[in-house]
Amino acid sequence: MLLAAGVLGTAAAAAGLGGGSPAHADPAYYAGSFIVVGGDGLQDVFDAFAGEAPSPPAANAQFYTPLHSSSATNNETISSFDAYPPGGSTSAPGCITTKLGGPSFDRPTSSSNGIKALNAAVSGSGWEASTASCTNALVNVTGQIDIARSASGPSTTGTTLTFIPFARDGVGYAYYDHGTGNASSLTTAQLNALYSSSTGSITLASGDTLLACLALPGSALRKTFEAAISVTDSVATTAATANGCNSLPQNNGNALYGQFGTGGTNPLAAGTDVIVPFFASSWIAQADQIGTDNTGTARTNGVGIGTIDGIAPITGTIPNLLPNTPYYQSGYGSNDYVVVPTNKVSGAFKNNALVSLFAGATSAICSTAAQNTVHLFGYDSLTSSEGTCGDTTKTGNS
Amino acid sequence: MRNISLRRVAARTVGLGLAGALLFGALQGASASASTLGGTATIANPSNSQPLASGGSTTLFTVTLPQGAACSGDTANNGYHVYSYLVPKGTTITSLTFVGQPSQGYGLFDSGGNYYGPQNTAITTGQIVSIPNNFEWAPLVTGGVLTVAQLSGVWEAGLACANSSGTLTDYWNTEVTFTASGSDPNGFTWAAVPGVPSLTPEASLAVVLPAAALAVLGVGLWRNRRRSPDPVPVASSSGR
Repeated sequence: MLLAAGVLGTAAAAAGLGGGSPAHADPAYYAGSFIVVGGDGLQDVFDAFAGEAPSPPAANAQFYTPLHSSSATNNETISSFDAYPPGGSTSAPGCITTKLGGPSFDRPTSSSNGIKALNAAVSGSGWEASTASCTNALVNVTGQIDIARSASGPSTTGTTLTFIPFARDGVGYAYYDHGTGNASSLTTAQLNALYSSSTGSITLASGDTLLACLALPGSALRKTFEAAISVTDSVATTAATANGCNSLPQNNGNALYGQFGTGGTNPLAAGTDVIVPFFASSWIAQADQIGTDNTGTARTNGVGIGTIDGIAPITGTIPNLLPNTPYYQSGYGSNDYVVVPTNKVSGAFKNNALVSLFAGATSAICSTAAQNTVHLFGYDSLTSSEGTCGDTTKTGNS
Repeated sequence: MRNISLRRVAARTVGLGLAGALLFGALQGASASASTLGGTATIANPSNSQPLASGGSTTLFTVTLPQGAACSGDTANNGYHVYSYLVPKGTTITSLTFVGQPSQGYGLFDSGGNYYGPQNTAITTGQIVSIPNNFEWAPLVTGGVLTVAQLSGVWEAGLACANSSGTLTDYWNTEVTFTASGSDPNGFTWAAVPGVPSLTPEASLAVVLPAAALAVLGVGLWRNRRRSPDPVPVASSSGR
């Protein structure tokens, strides 16, 4: 039902949106649209908000009614740039040019990278990715980035940026255990012990050895998972580094299986299992084939998403997986944010279209239609105890 | 002393000529990125680009600039951006800086209430392109930025270019007078006079500086001619 409500027919939408899609993963230029960058966890739902997900040239692309501001604010829309190029990965993100006449600059590959780039756009200080830069120099990105999508809230105090919550996710882990099911259900205590281990391993009750891996440093996925299991990043880094997997692409089961699965670069013997943080929403979107599927091979070969403390993050069966709300409301739940410059949603230079899109409970992203799209991509709407959609009171400098 | 040698005249003339030529040449060589300070911006009818001298708070307008108007550098390669500004008359416009927005005052807003700037220039040429055709003044009041009383009076408005540090490098100005009006839905009307305030020079440095250089050159030659009244200087008066 959600699919029917949220998705336009492909053919009709293709006609309505001007025909064929450009043969690249990034949005077509559109004067007046707001540019979104950030991590991969939220990229598919933002692609849907922009009108098409996954980004072209995905074979499973579907078309959606674009999120747009009110008619009084000129019906402005968004253009969202993925965290990695088509068919590529965050390890080689390359450069993007977001607006006509603008500079080419490093594609932000994570929530924190997106926020850094947005900060650079606000301050004019210049942006260069700390790794795999394609510019090897700071680039002035003033005016080139309007919004960062973030799976975590502010990490420093301040008022430069406003973090607007709009959805709820659940962080968990994906596992490869040779199909035994020995790593399919863990406790918070086990996860804490695993990621606190200097060897990056623990022995399970089954006798299996369990190894720890982590997603890209600085990613919201990594930070949120570490916070949920109460392990600092430096300690967890030691654990994952011991296993040679401290920087796996986020929400990418194929990368995990490609390293540790049969035929992988470092295949694990039977009795040795491995896990990596994974957002439940991303698992749902990938498995249901509405997002970019970076886990298909892994799923086929037994990689699954784990249960923590007896609560599964997901219910239902493919292609109708759903968030398990009790899990999302547990300590493994986390809010997702639209991050905007504070002076664009308040004060003399606020942008009314941006306000119409994201700020306030009556904004476009909090509408029933937008929240239906949110659900489709594996997120829950916020409950009052978790936050208020469109709230503009949470600020930070990064 | 009234008789100067042919060599000295030639040397002075060549020297002045070289100086002028160098200055002129340098400016000409940089013409694609020459700074324009105090150029003319014209509020215009968006449907035909003809000047629009006045209107109500919700009258849509665009801004036209002299043909080929360009920033001193482009966005893609040099980090220049186009901004709008609106400051009270008497403000020194060149003192404005731009980091996301002007350091003082306000700007131009589209009919949706969205500030215009920072915007990209054309690649390489730095030309100012894609100026919106849906500006209106109403958002200054409807957006709670100013009251009609605060808005009433004479303002300088226009488009400016800023470099990557936010320093203003070019601007095109029009003077706008806002007047309270009981018949307007938002309580004010406006009238515009294209160009800079009357006491501010209005010309591109690309024109002014070469002209000044030529003037210096001309004065130098004229003074040489006065010091040497003979059409053909005598060969020597040094007593050799």
